Amino acid sequence: MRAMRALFALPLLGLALAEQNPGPQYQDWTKYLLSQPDYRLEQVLKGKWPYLEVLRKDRLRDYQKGPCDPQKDPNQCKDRLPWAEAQAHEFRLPMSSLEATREVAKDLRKAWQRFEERYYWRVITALNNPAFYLAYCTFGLKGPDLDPPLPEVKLNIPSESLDTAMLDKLTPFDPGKMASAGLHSLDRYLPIPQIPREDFCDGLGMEILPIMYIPGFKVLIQGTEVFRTPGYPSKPLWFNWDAADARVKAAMEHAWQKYYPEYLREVAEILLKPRPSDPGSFLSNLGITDFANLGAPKVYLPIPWRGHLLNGGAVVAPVYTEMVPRDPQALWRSLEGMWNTYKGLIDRTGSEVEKVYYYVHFYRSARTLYNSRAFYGIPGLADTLKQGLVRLIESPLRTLTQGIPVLKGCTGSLDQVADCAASALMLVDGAVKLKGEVDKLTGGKPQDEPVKAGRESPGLWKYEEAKRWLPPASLPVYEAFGYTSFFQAMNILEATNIPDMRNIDLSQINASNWVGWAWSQLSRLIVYWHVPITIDIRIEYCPPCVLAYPSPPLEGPAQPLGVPPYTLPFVAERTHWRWVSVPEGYEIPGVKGTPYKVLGDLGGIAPDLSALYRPLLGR
Amino acid sequence: MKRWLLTAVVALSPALAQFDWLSNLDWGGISNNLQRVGAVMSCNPQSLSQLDFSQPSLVFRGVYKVTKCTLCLTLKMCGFPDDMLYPASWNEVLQGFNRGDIMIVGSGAGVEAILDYLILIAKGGTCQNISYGGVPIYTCPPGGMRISKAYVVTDTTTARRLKEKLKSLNDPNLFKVVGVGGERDSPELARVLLGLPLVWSGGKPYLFAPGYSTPDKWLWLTFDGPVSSKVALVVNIATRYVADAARREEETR
Repeated sequence: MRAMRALFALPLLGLALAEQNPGPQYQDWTKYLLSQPDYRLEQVLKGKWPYLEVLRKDRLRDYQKGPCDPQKDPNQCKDRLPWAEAQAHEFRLPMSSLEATREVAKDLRKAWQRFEERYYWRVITALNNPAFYLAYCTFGLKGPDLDPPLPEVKLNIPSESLDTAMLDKLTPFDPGKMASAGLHSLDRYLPIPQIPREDFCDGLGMEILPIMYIPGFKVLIQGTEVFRTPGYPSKPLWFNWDAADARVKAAMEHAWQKYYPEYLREVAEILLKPRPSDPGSFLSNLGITDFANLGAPKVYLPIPWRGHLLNGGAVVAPVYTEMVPRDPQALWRSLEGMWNTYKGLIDRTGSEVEKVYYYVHFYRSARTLYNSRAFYGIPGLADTLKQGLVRLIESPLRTLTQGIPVLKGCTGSLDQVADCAASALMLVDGAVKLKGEVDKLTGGKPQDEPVKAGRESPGLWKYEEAKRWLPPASLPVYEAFGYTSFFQAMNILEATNIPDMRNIDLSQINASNWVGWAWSQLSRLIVYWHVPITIDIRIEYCPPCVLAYPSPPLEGPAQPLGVPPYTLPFVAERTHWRWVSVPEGYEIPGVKGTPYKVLGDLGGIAPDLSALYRPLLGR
Repeated sequence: MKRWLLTAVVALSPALAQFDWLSNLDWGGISNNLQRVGAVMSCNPQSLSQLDFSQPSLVFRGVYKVTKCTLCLTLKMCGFPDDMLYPASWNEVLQGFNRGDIMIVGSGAGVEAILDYLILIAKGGTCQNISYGGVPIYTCPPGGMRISKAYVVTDTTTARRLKEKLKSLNDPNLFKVVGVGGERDSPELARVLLGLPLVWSGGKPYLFAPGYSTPDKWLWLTFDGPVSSKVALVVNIATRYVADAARREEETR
């Protein structure tokens, strides 16, 4: 409970800071905190699953005030949550694997693609009945099945969870996109359906009547054109607009009343059903006997934090890349990546003095990592890490310390330098808070705000907030650095067309970008295909007689006629997903209400997850 | 291999059916091609690089015009109407508010200004300043309108500000605000994902392109009749889901 103790040890300092800076303070708007990871790798060997603890701060606060009975003491209970609610302030969330959540994301995408195809092909087939009905519904003309690739893992840093003080220092702030941004589209826009005919031909019959159009024509006499109908060949002579309108309308209605709820249902099932469906037996089947064979079991254990529906919250799953890293080189590379991300951020937001702390902090976290018990018995892991780390940290840290008076005395081994620097920095922090002689300590290097700040949250807030930029990792890395990554899925309402015309990357406009985009839009226009004809009148020796015949279809090719609404409108909610990292003791973005409580509209879709996970978590 | 060939034939057959038409298009000759490029240039494709993405409804209009023109000139597909979006008068939008539910989808200052305006209408229409992105604008909306129910779907920052403003109304249930993406501010989410700014009024969809003025002076766009009825069909269904989402507010608390 390191995080929690620190959280409530500093309320007074919090108040002091609130007076200095008007405006919303971090501690005023935070509510859903990542409190404590309990990875218990030893426990995994005994058949228990690693989990996280999260808490609702508002409930914890009321809980700490002690029980309160509204019947006995109505005054004291004013503005307080019911005691039962206050007691339920802590929740355990089992870990899932990153790979499994990628597969979930892939299925979410596939569900969308299926809806997109069903919507379009229903409309276009109904409109071009009987020609398309024959081709797609009777003969079942069909392209390859939908099979989207595994979506990339992209880290999103939602500004909603970030401390506003950090945000101010990061202008311009680039939050990164949601992992799902722009992925609500097909991989290939083919001129034939990529779904089975049952998906869009349901309840559709062949309609030969009413007559949809009288074709446009041109008349040739002896090969010379003498007449053509207005608008030939683009427009037919007459088109049954009313019938076309009614057909499109009926098809759209069908899509929205049947296919769309089915999409929502499909998404809910993908998100809320654990994989494998029986996590208990899965764990016992893993046959884990020691740290070395923990591996990265593929498992998805979702937690509805009220649920993914619009205005409902999110479905979340904390993720690991693997339980214990096995490849020393890969681990070192990822650590280097973290170092670069972290350094870039602190360089932008930190003062000279704070940069020293960055080295110290990173060194200490990484030291915890290579001392991790989980690495015992995995040859080379701890040593590779240690050597790399010393190479990275030692000389820059020693150089930095020599430039700042208060740190000049820090010599000896790297451990000693780090410890000495940490306490010296606390000295600076104290001086800043008490408005002491900071300049003397820092040698004129400006340090206007406390390093620690008067925050309730644990750690040094800038270093903690910077963890939102760290990628998903293995359990020992999370433990050492004090953060965890989450997979989150939520619905967002969007008003656009299908395919989404906003799906163009404006950051890099080039020919192939435009062509792909234009093709997606053009290939999904709502058109009626009509065939203009050529009437060829010839005097031939047959014996001499006049022949007038329409040309065969290929000679006067089919022409598209746009039918309202030309492109399919979409105004509804659809499911997006993202991966976010949350520092220990800090706010979790995007969620609402209480974990495991599922929205009424989602009732009956998911099994009782808290009961299902109880044996896994051991309580 | 066989399967692949079959797929290719099947996939290409609609294209092959167009062969004659394609071959009738003028593909040959440098001068002809140059003419074609010249023709396409007359569609003003440069306008695509000058689109103002802060006004999505105008983007829609601009993209459609260029696409339609290019299709007709190059592929001889000329069966599309000149425009999909037409200017609508503010009076039309306003009269729609009298009839049935209102839904507003969008984010940022535009949505906020519309809601300010609606609140003034609901309160009884006195002349006042409303804020447009911090700029005060004096306006005198018509009083005495009866609004049955209004849903606003917007980003969380705007949602939070709107909820504060709605506290001044007597009927707290008149406007339902649905924030997108959790409980906190996430402007980047709204910018990327919310889409076209849309007002559903009197059973008809309107897109709007706000400028620095009051809603009665903005550019309002609506679709032609047959398009409008289809968009209306979709938005009408969306209002049901938004009503559910508004109800969820209580459930998640």
